[in-house]
Amino acid sequence: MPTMDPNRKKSKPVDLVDSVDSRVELTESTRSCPFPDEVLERVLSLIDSHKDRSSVSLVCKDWYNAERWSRRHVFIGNCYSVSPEIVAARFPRIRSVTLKGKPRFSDFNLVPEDWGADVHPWLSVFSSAYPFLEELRLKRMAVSDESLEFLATSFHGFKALSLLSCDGFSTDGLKAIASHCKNLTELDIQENGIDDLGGHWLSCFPESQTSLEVLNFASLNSEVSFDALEKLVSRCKSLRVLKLNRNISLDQLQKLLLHCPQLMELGTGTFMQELISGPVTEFKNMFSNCRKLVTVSGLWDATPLYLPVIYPVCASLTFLNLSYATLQSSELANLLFHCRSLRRLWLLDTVGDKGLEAVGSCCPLLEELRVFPADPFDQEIFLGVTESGFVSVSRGCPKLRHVLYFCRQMTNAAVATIARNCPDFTHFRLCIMNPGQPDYLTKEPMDEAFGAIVKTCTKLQRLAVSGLLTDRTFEYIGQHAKNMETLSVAFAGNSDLGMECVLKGCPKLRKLEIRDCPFGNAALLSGLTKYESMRSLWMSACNVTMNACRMLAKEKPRLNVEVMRDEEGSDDSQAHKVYVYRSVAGPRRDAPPFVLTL
Amino acid sequence: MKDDGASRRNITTAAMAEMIKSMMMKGYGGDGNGRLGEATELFTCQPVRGRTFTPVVHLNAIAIDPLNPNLFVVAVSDEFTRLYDIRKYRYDASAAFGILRGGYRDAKASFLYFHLHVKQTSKFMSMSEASMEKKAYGITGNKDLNLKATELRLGLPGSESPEREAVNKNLVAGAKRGFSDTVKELPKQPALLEKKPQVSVNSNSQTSVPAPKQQVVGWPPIRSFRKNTMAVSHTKNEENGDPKMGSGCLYVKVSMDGAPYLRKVDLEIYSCYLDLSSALEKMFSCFTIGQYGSHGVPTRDGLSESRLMNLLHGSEYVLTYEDKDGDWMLVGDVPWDMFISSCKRMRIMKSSDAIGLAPRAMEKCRNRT
Repeated sequence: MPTMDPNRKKSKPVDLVDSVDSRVELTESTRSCPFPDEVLERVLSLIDSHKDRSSVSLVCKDWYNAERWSRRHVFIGNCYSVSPEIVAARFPRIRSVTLKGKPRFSDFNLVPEDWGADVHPWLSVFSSAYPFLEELRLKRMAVSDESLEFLATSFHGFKALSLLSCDGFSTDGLKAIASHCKNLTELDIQENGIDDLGGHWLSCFPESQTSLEVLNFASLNSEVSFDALEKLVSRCKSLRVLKLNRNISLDQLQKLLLHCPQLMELGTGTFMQELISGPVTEFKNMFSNCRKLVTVSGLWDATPLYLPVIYPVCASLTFLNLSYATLQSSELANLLFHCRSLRRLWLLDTVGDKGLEAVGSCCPLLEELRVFPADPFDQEIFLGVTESGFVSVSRGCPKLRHVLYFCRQMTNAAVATIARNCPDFTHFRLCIMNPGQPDYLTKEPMDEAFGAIVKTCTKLQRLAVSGLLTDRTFEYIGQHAKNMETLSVAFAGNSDLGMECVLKGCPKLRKLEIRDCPFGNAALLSGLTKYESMRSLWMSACNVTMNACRMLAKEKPRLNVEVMRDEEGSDDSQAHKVYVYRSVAGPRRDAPPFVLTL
Repeated sequence: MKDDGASRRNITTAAMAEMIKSMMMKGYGGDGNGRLGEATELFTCQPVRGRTFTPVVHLNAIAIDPLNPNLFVVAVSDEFTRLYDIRKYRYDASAAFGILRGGYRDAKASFLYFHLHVKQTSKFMSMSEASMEKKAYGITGNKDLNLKATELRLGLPGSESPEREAVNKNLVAGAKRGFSDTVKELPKQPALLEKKPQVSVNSNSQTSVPAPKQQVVGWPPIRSFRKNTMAVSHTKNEENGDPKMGSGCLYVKVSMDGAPYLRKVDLEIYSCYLDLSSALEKMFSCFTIGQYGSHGVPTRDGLSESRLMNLLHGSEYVLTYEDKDGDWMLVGDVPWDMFISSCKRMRIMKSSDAIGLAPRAMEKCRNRT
């Protein structure tokens, strides 16, 4: 950053959301920046992080302006915190938009359909404000086929579309994108509530489409035309990310890999071949040309017979996603033996504690581990992974920073050990799957476990807690988790004190999501002065009443306090689902009938 | 009520007779109620094969008049209680009990008694059980519910009828209680059969598998895509046959009566019964903390007090397994190799519940080459 002239008149920091319609005329007396605007803009254009840019814009009016003119990418964490008009007014030259909509618990069916977060109003405004928009990344937004068609036809230079956990569209919408976006470089469709009407969309890519760099259709179930796919892959020489769906067979994958040796990220299809007549030797060299591969995912139905096929590329892999491959411990151990450079590893708990031991011994550079449950809802509960697997990993992988761990039993002692072994945790999400389950050995609450985490891991940014927890846990969090930004709580706590501790004690808290906890009105209102510094608060199935929500709404007009009603005739005084977020756009205009904005 | 020909059902009685004969030969002793101190054999009924055109009822309970062991009464899955006089029939241990040449005639009951109370027996079941039953049958509430609701299967554990799969895991225990309860209440006169033999229904509340847990919405927090994908994979694996095989792995489920969840063990890693047994002991010892001992006295806290006895030879628990044919056998009776090739899953059950498994195991061993 350029140094400031100490003689400069200090201007008042500009309100972040002050909407300035046009470039401010600067008189001699107010112009204090020694650099011409163009230079400042040029310099600022090198700053990518939107947090830094926010800071930059607060320095002074000059910088605010320079920043807004030089910004190319805008990140909107809550689509209702601001309106498209305001965004368009402030940032005239946006090329790339990231937009997040529904509260995170909508991923787990806690938010009714038709809640909102429709992308279309945004697209309408953008079509006139940003005709040169190139990238759109949506998460938990409601997207319709019409919107996709509108997108495809309104923005002629459109390049990159990423849809994660969105819903409301079908493969017809993808057809529109494939057909009309001549310069498409990225089509990334992940885990959406998509209506899969068939794989014809892929065949809609015209012959002229040669610019594709990222193609991810791993979560689509329908079969695409392999012929079309093969031709597409062979003519897109810049393709670096290709994630196939389960219908692509192993021999088809082999053919594809011949066309794209430059691939960096690969999601395989089914990793086995039905016919057993000696095809394994044929596949042995499938990956021999893929020298740039750093990420492998997919591996559906991988068996020990075929897994060795990827061994040749394992040494250079940094991210291995095995969360759809039901591997056993020995299979994983054999595989990981070759994967010494792994930084990120996603697994299914079928690998068991033994598999995790292998992780600990083979992957010393590991920074991220996610262990998903294979049978989360099975009435006959198998023991997937336990505390000992986690401890083994922590011993062998001291660089662990990011963990998501689903298990059925845990102890305070184990977590304390893990915290000691891996003090650098930034993201710690432990899900003991049986709600309210104590330490299975001592039968005590899991308070000390999370206490150990927050005390030892000072860099912790994200925390998700589970198991039997008293207010103690939250006291610890409030006392120690000074860098924590996101906290997820379920089936925990004894009283309002828990939530109050968190709200009072965590200065960097931005997102708080709570479900099924005994926190009530006092807790809700204790955060009165806090919520405007946060992105959002979610409370469901807690002890909050409508009156408290009304009070909050009244005291804080710049917050949107939304209450979702479950059904007709439910008790008017109980607020079942409360969603509170700051907004400069005022109350929602598109709220459905079951959402009450107070 | 007269013996009504129209309501007659075919009953598989060969096994019944088998059991009664055995009981009589052993003599009555034990607690004076006709109950032996230790049950030694499990008698079961085989389904009538090849006669699907004839309606079959399932045996729920048998009671023998302790004062006149020639009389025994049978409670089955329909609305009648049948009293038989064994002297009327020749026992030849064949399925052709009472068969005449060229035809089939069922065993004719000396006395048929219709239970008026049957409609009210649902009150013996707790609400959750009643709803479990409802779910198991997909019944939405009509008169039939009561009859079905009182049905208990005296089948082999694991050999459930398709409808009952989710519910009946404690068949052996249930049957035993049914027997003892019935015997207790059995008066001298058949007329007193009015009393409700279906008290055994209550034993369902002590089933080892908890009622299907109410699934909490949105918990565990897993995205729909993953949920749906894993559900598909899981069904695929199940179709391919339990246990899940990988090369060098032979995972079987092990459940223990009273434990909140199952475990899976890889049979391939053990070389003999002793290894398996000690591994299982370690795995399941934590579940016996604070559990009641077999005499209703709570054990002291601490692992040392509540260690499982050696599973193979101990007295409190026995280790049983379900083989490829769906039969439940005692672990340890067959050669190890035969065991691991035929074992589908295992269950650690209380010895008091495991009756009569050993002889069958030997028989099977003999029958197999």
